[in-house]
Amino acid sequence: MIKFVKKYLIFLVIIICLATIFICTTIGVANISVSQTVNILFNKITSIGNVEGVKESTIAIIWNLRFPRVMLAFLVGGALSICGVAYQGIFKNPMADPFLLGVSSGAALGATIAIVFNISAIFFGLDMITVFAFVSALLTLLLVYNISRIGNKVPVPTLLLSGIAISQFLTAIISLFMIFSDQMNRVVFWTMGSLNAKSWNHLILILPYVIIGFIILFRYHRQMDIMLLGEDTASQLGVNTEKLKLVILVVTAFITAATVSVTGIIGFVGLIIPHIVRMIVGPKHKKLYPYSFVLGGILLIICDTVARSLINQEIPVGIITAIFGGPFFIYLLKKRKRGGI
Amino acid sequence: MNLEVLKTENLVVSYGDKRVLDCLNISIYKGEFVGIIGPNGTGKSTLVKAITNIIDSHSGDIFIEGRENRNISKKERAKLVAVVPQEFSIDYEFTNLDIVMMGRNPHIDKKNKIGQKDFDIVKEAMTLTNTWDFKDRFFNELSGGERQRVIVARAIAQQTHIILLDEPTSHLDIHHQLEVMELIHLLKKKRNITVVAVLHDINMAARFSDRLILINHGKVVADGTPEEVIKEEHLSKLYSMEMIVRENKILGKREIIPLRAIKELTEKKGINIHVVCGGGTGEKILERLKSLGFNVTAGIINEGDSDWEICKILKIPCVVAPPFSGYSNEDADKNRILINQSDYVLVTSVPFGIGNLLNLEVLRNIEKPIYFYQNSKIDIDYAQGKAIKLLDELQKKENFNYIQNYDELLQKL
Amino acid sequence: MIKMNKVLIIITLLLMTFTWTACSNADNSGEEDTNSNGDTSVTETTYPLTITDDLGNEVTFEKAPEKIVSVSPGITETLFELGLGENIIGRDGASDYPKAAQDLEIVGDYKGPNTELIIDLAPEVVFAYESIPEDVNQLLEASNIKVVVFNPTNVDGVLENIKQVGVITNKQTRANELIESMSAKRTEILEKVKDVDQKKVFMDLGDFISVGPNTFINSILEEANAINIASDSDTPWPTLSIEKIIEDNPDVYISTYTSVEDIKSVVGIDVIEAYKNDNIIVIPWGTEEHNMIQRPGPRVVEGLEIYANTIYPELFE
Repeated sequence: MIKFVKKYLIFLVIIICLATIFICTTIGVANISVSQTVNILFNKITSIGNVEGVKESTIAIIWNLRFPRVMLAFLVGGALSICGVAYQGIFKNPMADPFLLGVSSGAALGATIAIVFNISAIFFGLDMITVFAFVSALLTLLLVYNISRIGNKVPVPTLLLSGIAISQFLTAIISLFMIFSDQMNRVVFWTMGSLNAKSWNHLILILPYVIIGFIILFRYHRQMDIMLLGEDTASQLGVNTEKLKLVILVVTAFITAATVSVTGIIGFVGLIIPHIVRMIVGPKHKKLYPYSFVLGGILLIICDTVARSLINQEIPVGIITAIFGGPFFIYLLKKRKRGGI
Repeated sequence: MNLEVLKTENLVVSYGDKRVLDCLNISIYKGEFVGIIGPNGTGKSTLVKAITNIIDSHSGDIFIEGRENRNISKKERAKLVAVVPQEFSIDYEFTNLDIVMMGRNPHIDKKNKIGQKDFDIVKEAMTLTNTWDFKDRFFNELSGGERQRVIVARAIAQQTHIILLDEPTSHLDIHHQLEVMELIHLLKKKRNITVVAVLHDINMAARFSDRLILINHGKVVADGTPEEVIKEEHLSKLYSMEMIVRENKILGKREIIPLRAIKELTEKKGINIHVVCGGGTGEKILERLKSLGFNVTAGIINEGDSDWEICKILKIPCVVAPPFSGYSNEDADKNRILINQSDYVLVTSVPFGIGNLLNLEVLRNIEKPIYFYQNSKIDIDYAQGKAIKLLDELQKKENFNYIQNYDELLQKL
Repeated sequence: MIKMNKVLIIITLLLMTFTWTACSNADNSGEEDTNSNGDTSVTETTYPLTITDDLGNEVTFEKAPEKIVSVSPGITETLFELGLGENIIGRDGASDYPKAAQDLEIVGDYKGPNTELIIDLAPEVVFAYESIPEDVNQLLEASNIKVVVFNPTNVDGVLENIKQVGVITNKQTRANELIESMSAKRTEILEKVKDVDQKKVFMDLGDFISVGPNTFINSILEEANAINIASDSDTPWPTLSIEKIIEDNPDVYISTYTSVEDIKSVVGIDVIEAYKNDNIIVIPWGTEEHNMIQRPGPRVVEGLEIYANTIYPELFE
């Protein structure tokens, strides 16, 4: 049985993934039948069939809201997971997640500034919160990287510590802004992450970062394996560790900044998915990246479906991932069947 | 002169203010097995790190196959130099095949694909190191020695001309130490690979190396064949311990026997003691007395006797008789002179036969305090009662004492 | 860090929700109490006077307080309306109306009054809103400063509060006049909207956070005879998903934060009636109008009129 699963794992995962996307598109607060959902999706994707007679709002909900939101959840979940894989690899730290170096605090500060100062403008179809969060996240990583640089090297422990320090510092500034602002609720909700009111334009915004990022990360899969033996050994095996670190940091910075600026901070996905996938397919990045992407996507689709349809109102998806992820992670730690955690 | 494959010129490496390598100059030639030895913290491992450019050198140059080290990219260097580190474990579940395949990393081209050729090289390396059988097992499931063989296989898969070993056996038991060292030695012979091994075990280093470089405080103290480097004058001060350097006759190699690192408190300078011994009965006490600072003499001993060898190593003056022959009166006279120069005489539990009876007879006219080690388990008389008779006579002398053990003697002195 | 903060804030929000429901219960008992105390025929207050505030606390006054701190914008407005502007010696940062109020010393905001500043001013009474922290309350009382907490959840509650302030400060005549004029105007508006075809309204406080049941704004929307699409939510300040907004299809979209363009750029929003009929209205945060529509004070009826006018403009031509 286990052998069978292992052999056809990739097909199994793809089937589960497609099923999740489909099932979760049929679920939502608006009461829309499965057949109507199928009809609309089929018509929109293949231009075959007939949606005449279906309410305009129903089509809008399925095609402009739910389906793109499910796809965005997939993309964001996948993006955070591969960043988690990359971070856990270069930091050799099982607790590393994509927000380790302060990308979340940086994005949150940008978003807070946009919210508190009520900066309202549309920039290529994007609101200012997204733009500010993106720029601020990138600037934060640039700052952390430069602080940690000693000569032409960036020692991992220094990177971690300055990441934590900058992160704390920015969080303090955010709190300060919140004290002086009437918009505390909005900042808080932003930091808890949400995919509400996100659609195709947001999907298209982050898609290039995720695709290009994935390709680059995947190119270095072998070096990342070697990196797990330690930086010195990797260096002696011909890996340009400093360059690798720089590439990983830059690529993940763009991916996480893009996703965080659109969705807010969604924790735990980037932390637990790499561990789960490592248990299933082993530590080699050639498999870790694609499987983590798909499983992370599936997880976030499910969490977001719960977040948007459990009750009559939105629950920030970051809360759902933490509620699911926390206990599950503890369970994994306890179980710890095979190494790597 | 052979081809110079690795060279450091006035190499200086510092950690903060501390100079770990201080104007180090070494040259390694093609096909050599060079052992780098020296006390802990003298920069042996730092040298490996400097060569593989993990730490930056402060000044000076390193040349690998004639190319300046800092101009070589990591990938290029990994094609020139492979490293076998100390035994280590990893937190991740890589199979041994994965680990050895990582050795192919510097050779993987832009297409980023592992080819059949890489696979063949890895298979050969693993076969050579006898690790192919467990290629699909996880690296951390192996024993220390097996892991180290896998790491050696990885170094082979790198297809370099030079292999650096950084204390490769320090965590292994003696069997696996030997196994790994033999493997590397074999490799050097079979493939004409240059091996530079940082080793903490001097005997292991002397046994396998063509040349030894002794380093202390980041400088070369001695550089040459094991015979030239393994000398007490080089080593005992560096390692601050007492040792005996001798030929290991079985292996035909120099070896050291470490004796003690902590000095005994009492210094017995200026006291002369003559030891009557033979047949190995004196080995232990001769060394002990010598180390305590006594001026020790001995005699008469036959050449080739193990006590004679000790005297030779410890440079104890002694009266020597030809091998397998009785003592002449001339020898007895020389012995008497030595005894008269000394303050005390010690007789070990040496058995007496016709050949060495003179050693006992000489004591009859000696007025110095005589200490006789009495070991009831050994029959001392092989001279048809003559020895017993002499002993009875000696017992009557006032200056004659029996002792039960040597500590008793040392207390009395 | 952020995660920690999040947890704290969620807990605070949850607690706020609970206290809210708890307070609305206390509110009912308070209403009865004020009614019995405030017979319109009596215009002079007799001291000592014991009142029960909206938290159910009994407070006794020996005489009409002359030095007052108000940390509730609505009460500040009420005090000025009753001619007690001179007696206010401190206010919260949001108490910006009438203009004269802006000259008063600020003693913190409505969430966290500065106890040190207040005690230093030595007022006889502090009028506060329900969100005043309990420990601030206790500190002030320990310094012999009386604290009266108001928690109106609808227009009636606001009227009761005005009456209570009038009783405490011995300005009952002025208070009754104010209440009468407010009630008259209110009746006029209610009359207008009474038989109208009910419209569905989405109230957007920013990022689709809306007003749920048991909130002050929800009650005003109800008075304006509109259907608040968020009134079936489980929490007072629910974030609505766009899907629900589209499903409920509001006729009017009132936002207090973003711009009309921002709202129109939300994908999928173009199918709702409010979009199609150009009924997206933004009443920006910080404007006078915005204060009127969400502040439980003497101008609440004007706020009600704004809602009614916004939702049913045809009735007010």
